[in-house]
Amino acid sequence: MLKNAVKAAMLSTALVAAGGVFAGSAFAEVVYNRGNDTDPTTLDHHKTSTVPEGNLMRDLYEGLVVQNNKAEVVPGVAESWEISDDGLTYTFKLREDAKWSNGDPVKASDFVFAYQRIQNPETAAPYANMLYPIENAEAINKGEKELSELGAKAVDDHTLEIKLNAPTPYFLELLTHQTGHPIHQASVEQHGTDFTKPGNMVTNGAYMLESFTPNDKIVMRKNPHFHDAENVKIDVVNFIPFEDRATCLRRFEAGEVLSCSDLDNQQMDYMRQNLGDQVHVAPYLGTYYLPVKVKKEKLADPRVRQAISMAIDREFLADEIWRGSMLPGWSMVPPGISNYDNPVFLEYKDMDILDREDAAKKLLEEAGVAEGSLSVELRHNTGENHKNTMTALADMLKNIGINTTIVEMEGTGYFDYMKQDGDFDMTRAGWIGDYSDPQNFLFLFESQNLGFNYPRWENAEYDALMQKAGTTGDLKERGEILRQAEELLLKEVPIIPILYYSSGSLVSNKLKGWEDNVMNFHGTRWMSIEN
Amino acid sequence: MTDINPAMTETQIPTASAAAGRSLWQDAWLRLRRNKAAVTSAFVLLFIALAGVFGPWFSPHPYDRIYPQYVRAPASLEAYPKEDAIVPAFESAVARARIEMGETEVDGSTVRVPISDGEPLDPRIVRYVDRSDLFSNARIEELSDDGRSGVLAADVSRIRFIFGTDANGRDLLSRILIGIRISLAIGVLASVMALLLGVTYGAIAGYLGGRIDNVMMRVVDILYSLPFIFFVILLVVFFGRNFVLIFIAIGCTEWLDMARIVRGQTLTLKRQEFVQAAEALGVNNAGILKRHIIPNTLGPVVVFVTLLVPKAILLESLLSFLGLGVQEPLTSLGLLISEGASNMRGAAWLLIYPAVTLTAILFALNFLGDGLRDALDPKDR
Amino acid sequence: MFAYVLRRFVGAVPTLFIIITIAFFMIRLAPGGPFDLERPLDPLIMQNLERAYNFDKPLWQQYLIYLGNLAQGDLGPSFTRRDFSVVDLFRTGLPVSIRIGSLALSLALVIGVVLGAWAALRQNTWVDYMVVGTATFGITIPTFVIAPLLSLGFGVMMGWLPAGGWGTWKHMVLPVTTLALPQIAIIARLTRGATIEALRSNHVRTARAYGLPSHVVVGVHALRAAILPVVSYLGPAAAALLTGSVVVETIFGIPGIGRYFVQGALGRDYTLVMGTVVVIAVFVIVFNLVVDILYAWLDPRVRYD
Repeated sequence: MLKNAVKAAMLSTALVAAGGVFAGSAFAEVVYNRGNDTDPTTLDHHKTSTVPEGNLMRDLYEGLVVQNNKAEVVPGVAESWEISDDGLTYTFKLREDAKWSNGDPVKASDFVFAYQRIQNPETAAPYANMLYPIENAEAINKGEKELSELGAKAVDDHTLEIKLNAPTPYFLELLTHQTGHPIHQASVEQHGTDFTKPGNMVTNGAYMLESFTPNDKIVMRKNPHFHDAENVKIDVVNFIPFEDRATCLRRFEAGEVLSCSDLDNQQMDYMRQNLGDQVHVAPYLGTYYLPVKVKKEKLADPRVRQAISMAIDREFLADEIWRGSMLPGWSMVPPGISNYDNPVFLEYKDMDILDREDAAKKLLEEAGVAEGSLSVELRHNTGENHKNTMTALADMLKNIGINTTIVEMEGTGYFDYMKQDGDFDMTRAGWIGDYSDPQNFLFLFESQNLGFNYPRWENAEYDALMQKAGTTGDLKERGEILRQAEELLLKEVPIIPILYYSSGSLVSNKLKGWEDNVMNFHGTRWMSIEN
Repeated sequence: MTDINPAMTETQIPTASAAAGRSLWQDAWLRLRRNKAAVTSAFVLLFIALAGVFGPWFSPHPYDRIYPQYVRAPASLEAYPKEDAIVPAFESAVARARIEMGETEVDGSTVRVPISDGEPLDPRIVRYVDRSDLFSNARIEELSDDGRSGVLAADVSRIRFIFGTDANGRDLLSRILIGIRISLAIGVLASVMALLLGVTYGAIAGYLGGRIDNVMMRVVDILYSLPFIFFVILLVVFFGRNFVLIFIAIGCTEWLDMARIVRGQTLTLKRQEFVQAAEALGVNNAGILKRHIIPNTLGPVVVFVTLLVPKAILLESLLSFLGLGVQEPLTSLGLLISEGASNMRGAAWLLIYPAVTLTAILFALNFLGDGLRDALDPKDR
Repeated sequence: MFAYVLRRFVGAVPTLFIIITIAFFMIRLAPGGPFDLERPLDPLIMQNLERAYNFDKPLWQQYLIYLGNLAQGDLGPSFTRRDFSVVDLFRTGLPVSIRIGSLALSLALVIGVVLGAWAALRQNTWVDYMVVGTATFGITIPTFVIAPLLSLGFGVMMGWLPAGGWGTWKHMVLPVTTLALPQIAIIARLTRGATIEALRSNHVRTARAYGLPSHVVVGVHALRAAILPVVSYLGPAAAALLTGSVVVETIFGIPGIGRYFVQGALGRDYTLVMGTVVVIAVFVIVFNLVVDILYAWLDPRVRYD
């Protein structure tokens, strides 16, 4: 450990000598080597969509509202806001001392520019639909309306007014997503697509970009102009991409990184024994499920699908295959989600597996499926534990007389295949919530949602319920409607939920301020390092 | 004249009547037999190959059988279950039947627990115990008259996992045996494929020479510069993962070296008198290639093949590391090793046993290859 | 000689062109595209993206656009790393791969040749058996086993060297060793075989008969002949080593170009894959030429005209 401290000290003196800007403290600067899942596709947050990209953006930018280390929504650039009685108009009051990393003030127009840019069809933003609740956003993204018609207006430099299409109870939370961040208009206009290059990039978060070496690290330095800069304890964050979880574990043990963003499922036992409470496993808003191609004759009968679902020993999968890094899953909407007071589960949740198998066999018999006459192909994408999961599933289905074959596909082809209505029987898929609301899980299976509805399930009643929920402002009533929709989904089981995701991380004891939360959001500005 | 020394006839026949090639092979055979390392290697290989071919049929555990209660059981010569695991496993199995349980007793290989319930005992509760991998033949003994209490007894099944079990609870020894079968099959088939393609191609290019040779070798150059992984990823993407595909992919990339070697040999052979004699006699090109050129290139080719087999096995293991290997529930040594490498800590047996097996195979192939080279080396006679 | 080199380079142009053409159409025919992620995109947004990257044009037109850009040294933008052009990625990654690869190659060459020659001179003694045994062992253990073992041993347990990452010379030790080990093994075996053969050859016997000191005979005459198979092996090996190793780069977290190939192919980053194909092909062609020239220099019997 001493060696590293000396190295850090030398590095900082070199930097102080070179720049002289950060010479405020005579002490070595605090460096946080932070493991991330992969490199980002881009640092242009309008073109990002993944979790590791979200981690970077949370440090680089500050939205109108932000999530603190407990993932609670707290004021960010907006110091206060008002919501009209009909829930359609939000008026944000921006703080006076919000500044960009080059010293420019953050103005309401920066948000308007950003929200217009993300809906501009030329930007081709993959997550533009996140902001579709804003008035006219969808029409603009389709090229049907002008950018200026967007329902986000700067009343003055410090007042922003946003109009919505319909009351959206999760709108504030949605704004904490990276698509809700502002963008520095001048540097985008000056540098074009190069605005994300180190030296060009201007951000308004607690950190600013210093360098980006692909497959090596992204270095961020504390933004001296950040309004809460005095409370930001860590001076430099190095985001290190780890495609191989075992590599992160080794570097964590060697003291080279202070946190890993994911756990190596193969070594759960080892880590639990040797790293103790540095292993964090927290509930997460995500579901691991099996889409079933309902159009296929052999799987068209819901009783057959239900029987398959019944025979799955979810405890075995969670405890043995995933070594406790997943939880048994009994519904599509994971527990712990907001705006959903009365969650619904598969009705045989509490039955013993043997009784379930008996019930499953009976269902198959009713559906006219003789033992051993049904064979199902289980398809999965490459991934150590997907393979083990499917192997275990095959064994479970054998218990109720269903034969299986397993087919592994390489990732990109796999998702394309599912999306393009490929000729599969059953596959696996996972969904991590973008925001804490059941709608974000249930909209996947609306009939017209061809990108996500892998089973190609069509149910008019479900669609009607989802439609109704979309226009219901009362949270209780809306939750009840969504519950009815999920109940229907679980009765028909076009998708079989089998596991809930947990977020797994390695967090060094030296890293303080890391709070496990259901969104797995851990902004560096809330953390500090103790030696 | 009847008692001619048989040894004499034997030595006379080849020199007198048979083709010169045969004596080369016999000679090589004799020399190979004298090479202790090569002979040992041949036996080791034979043993491993037999284990791969027949082992899975004799193994007590099918290679795809999952034992849910024995996930990641460490390698052990002792039979499972371990003594202190019997009672908890039994109790947790009985507890699933939701009945009252008394004190559990273990007596040799039988477990007993007194049970009772508010209503008559359902005889089907024995299946909760039978379902466990640890017990068999569960039965209710000493059933009381009202049928509400009795003793639940079961035999402890002793199972051996001498190499332990994997992350799904499958016997590692059985998986290694099937892995040997697949790996050797890939090694041999890929080499045969490289052999057929490479020898034919190289011999034709070398023998015909000139412009044709130029074009043919340019094609080899082009294929040589296309990275191997590129080929494989695309093949896997197009056709899905498939055993046949893997050896075709490996064979397709390995025949290039073979073609170059054979072409070089052919260029030298072409100028030899016996080929020119055959040409003068009007034997057609195909005949000369088949009868004269190809048989005479076999020496270096055989040696190269013994190097090719391990190379193919290792390439397959690289594919497995990248997640492009064979399809479950089949496995290969490479796949087992790459799974083992990710379980290195906590379940070291998953790496050690497959790695030792692969190393033994490759060692044997290498020594055999060296032995063959020395034996076939004409300069050394 | 100069004319020969020039002719070879000119001859390489059509080869490269064919390689590029094959690779371009093969990767394009693969199902899926660079925007097919685990989370699917809205079809509308997909259209916007495809338009932005010319994917809506016919394939042959895209091919011509690509060739046109390539002729100007532009390998296009990367789809999976959109803040960089493919040329940018190689500019940062290639020096790293070359540095590690050339170190591993030099290390392997020195150790391998010395060990191989030593074993040959002491043929059938314990030295020989040791070298052959270790060499065989070195070939048989896959890098994806050696790399984590080294990282675990020297990085985590003993803490002498970094367990991974990139920066100082210390970060290079383990990856270079991992890359060099199998090469040492192969080169030692090749050298041993060739040296044994050379020691039996006429000119070495003659040199001995003339009473030249043993180290001169071995060092000058035998080794010069023995190095030939090593040189012809080194051509493709150098090309492979200098263009990076997926396994070593992934396990040690090194920002070289070895990973781009697999990342690019699996992520359907068409331009990145094409760029890697071009770079690898150029390396193979160049090193084959270097080998041929070295060969001519080492072995006077070989002539080029």
